[in-house]
Amino acid sequence: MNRITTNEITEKANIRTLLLDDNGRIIDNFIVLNVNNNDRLLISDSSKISDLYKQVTKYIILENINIDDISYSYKRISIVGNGSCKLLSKILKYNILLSEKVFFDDFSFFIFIDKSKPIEWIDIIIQSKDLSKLEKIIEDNIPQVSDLNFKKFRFKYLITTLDEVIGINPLELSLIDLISFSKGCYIGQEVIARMDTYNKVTRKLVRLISDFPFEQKKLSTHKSKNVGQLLSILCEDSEINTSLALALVKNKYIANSIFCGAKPVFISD
Amino acid sequence: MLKNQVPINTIEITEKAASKVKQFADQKSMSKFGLKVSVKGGGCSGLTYVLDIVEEPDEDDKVIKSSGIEVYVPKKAFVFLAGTVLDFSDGLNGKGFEFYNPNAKKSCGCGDSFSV
Repeated sequence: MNRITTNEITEKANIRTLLLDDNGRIIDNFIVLNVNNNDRLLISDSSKISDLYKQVTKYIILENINIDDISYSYKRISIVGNGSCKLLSKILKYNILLSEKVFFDDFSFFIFIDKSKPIEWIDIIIQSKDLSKLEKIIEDNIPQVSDLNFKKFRFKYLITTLDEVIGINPLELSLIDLISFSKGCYIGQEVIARMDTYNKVTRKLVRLISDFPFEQKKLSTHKSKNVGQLLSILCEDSEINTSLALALVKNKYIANSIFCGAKPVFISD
Repeated sequence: MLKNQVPINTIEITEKAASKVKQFADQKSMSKFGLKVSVKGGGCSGLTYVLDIVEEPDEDDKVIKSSGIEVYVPKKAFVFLAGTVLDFSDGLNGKGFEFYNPNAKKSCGCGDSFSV
């Protein structure tokens, strides 16, 4: 894994990392959990697990490694927002300090503290058969949010999903915590190192706001010069009567007037 | 030597590279040796060359004789290496062992990694 992914995977690693193509563009963003000395659990953010499976398998040539898709037997619960760690520690009566396996009554699960996110974010990885036991413990204390509210939350903190950023360079998304600049070669490393060394990152992830619905993915100046692209749109928010989007915008146009189609859009703080 | 001079069902090692391999084997005081040429996943371009001096081939290695030494290539790696010429570039700015691999569509700057 260390030879193909962006972050340092050590023997006891519980870490989030990226898989890039040889042009330094994102293929997958996943967590590596250390199950025991021989086994690793890869938790992909992708909606298509088969893509990660296919990509990792491609690089196994002589090594004695087996990969199985066991996604049906595990579930993930994400607990997000400031104070998550403290609250979960209180509920579980377990002091959560590290990403590690936790044994609780007659079942166990992994806790992964995701430090790559701009806000407290804990992923719990649990076997499907034990999910209901954990849900019983946490459901009264931690409210579940709707998909729409979660999307609003993501937009507020500039958090993208993998499906929104496949094919994008991770430095443009400021995913710097997922990249080790000291570990040596991995797929796409030359491009990442060059962009970082020569400060060639030309686009930045921003939140856009508009009084009109976003009609197309392409962003431009009033002279139709390409300025960037939309990554995700939050449909018209009836509460505030605006549309929101996450977008990559070229650094040199950030202070300029930006248009989506003929409609003006604004970068929101 | 041009890469297209090498038949695609073998790999070749230049006299210069063979001499360097012999030198390394002498340093290790190995009387019987062969050069194991293999490939592993990873590196800047996806696949990385691996060289090792070993006493004998593994069971599933293809054994090739070139420039007076035996070259051992695992069969699974041979599909990525068929037709390759292994050369040696010395001097202060030399790159060491260099691969001219007709299967490589793209190589990284240092030449250790390639993609097919």
